Amino acid sequence: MALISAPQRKYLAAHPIALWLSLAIAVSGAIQLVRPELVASSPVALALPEWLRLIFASVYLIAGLACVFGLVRGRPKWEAAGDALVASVLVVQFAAALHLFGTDVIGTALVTALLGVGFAQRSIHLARGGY
Amino acid sequence: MDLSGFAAVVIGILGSGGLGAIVAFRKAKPETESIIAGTLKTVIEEVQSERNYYKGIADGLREEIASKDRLLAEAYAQIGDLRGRVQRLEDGAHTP
Repeated sequence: MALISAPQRKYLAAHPIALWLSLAIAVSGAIQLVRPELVASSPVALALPEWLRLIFASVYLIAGLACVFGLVRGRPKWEAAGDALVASVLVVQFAAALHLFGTDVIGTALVTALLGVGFAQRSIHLARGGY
Repeated sequence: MDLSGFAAVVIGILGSGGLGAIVAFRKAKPETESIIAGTLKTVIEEVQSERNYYKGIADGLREEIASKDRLLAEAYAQIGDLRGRVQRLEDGAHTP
């Protein structure tokens, strides 16, 4: 039996942006946990205490993995949960950037925030029974 | 906003995300329709393939039966012909 069936491949092919963003978020979460020194100058790392940064990185990793699993296996439940978590961590990033640097980083912060809105919208769509 | 205040905000946002994740997990459908339909399509294709395989065997057997029926009919005809000749010999005919 193939790892990914033909219908699953079709579903994946229909959601490439969500897939690669989710994968990037999972990888980023793993880096924040395993090699935090690589992201030591990020707004979140600067704004949050160590214990909360670890929680944030864990949520980041879990959210990304849940989204990827949901997309690859065609499980909207996992994807919806992952999307909601991704939306929350992106809002935290947005808030951390504004908290530290104010409107100097409004462009980047807005991109992050709007991505979060997109993930939240996707989660709501799935929770309402959509695909 | 000091660090502890911001940490509280972050915890609130992450907590909301967690609650949202739980609600979304409970409400979303377990599997995508496209994948269910794809699985059913695969099952239908497998059953159709098996059906065609056995239909091929059945067609072959029918042809074999028809061929044997023809042979049997010929054999019965020859038996009838031979019986006729024997009967005529028994009746005293000089030439069969």
